[in-house]
Amino acid sequence: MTMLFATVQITFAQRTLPKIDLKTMENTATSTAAFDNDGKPIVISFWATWCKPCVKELNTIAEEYEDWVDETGVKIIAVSIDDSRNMSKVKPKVNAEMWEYEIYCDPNRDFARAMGVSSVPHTFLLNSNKEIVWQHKGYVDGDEIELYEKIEELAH
Amino acid sequence: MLNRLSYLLVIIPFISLGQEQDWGEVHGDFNLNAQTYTEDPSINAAKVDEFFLMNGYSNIRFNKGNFTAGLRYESYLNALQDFDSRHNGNGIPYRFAQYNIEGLDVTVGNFYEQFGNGLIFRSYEEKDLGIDNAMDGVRLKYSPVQGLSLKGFVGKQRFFFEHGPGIIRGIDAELNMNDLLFKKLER
Repeated sequence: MTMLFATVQITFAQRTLPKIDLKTMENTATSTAAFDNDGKPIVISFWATWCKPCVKELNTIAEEYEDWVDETGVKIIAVSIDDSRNMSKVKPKVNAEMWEYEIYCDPNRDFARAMGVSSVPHTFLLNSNKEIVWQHKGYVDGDEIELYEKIEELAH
Repeated sequence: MLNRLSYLLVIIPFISLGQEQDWGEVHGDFNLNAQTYTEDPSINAAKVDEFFLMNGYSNIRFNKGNFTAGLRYESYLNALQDFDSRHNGNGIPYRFAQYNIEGLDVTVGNFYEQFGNGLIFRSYEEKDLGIDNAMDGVRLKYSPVQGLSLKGFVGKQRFFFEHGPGIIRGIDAELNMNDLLFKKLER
């Protein structure tokens, strides 16, 4: 079976982050309105415990996350779309991979739906006004380099 | 196993109108999953009557301040092999308007919702599996204090391009003792 993917991204202007209710890893209520990084860039990455490219992306970035933060002040927010049945696997996964990202859960995909996320991984980059300036679907080796270039553009 | 070529096109356009006057924002996405089928008896490939099958949909979402509205157009001409054939034709099976008034969230039209972990009630979509039991009705959400959130809705459930029989009514309260008691002490 052959599969062809075509992704066209046309970005004319900025998009504000929608205000959607979310859960923390501890299943307490929070909201996207609470996302903040003091005016520095924010990356929002949608992932799932069952999504191998997502875990690969987050692991690859984790190797350099400390440097990224030192140089640009970026914050990565990883939102899991695992449903309630799989939500209990999120915290063990995060601990096992030793990620230092801010982790949230979106068990009924409300946030994913509002952002137009149909499949994971799907990563967004927000500027200092919390406007979405760049996004990317899927992950292949090297995508994190492009992401970092975009982050650097924002930071400097 | 079928011998086939799959084409998946995902186009994500983002359009924002006006910076001087706040016209609000319109955003959307488009998703097309199309397949052509080749007969191949040597691998016991199923014989598919049609040469070309497709599932397509597009979400459009408008937001201005506390107001959000959106719709989804779905097209099955005809639905992919092994998809429920009751997914047939075109339509707008999902449309909603939503407003947030000082913490009270009102939604009319279609919405997805989950009570707690979803065992008692879960209205959701899983496009790849052809699952979509969106509610069509009215929903209210309110959080009077930190740690307590209330939800109520009345509606009919989606059944392909129609409604299922009956009316579903639900009310839910989610209480988080930590947030309710201990956060207050921190202040």
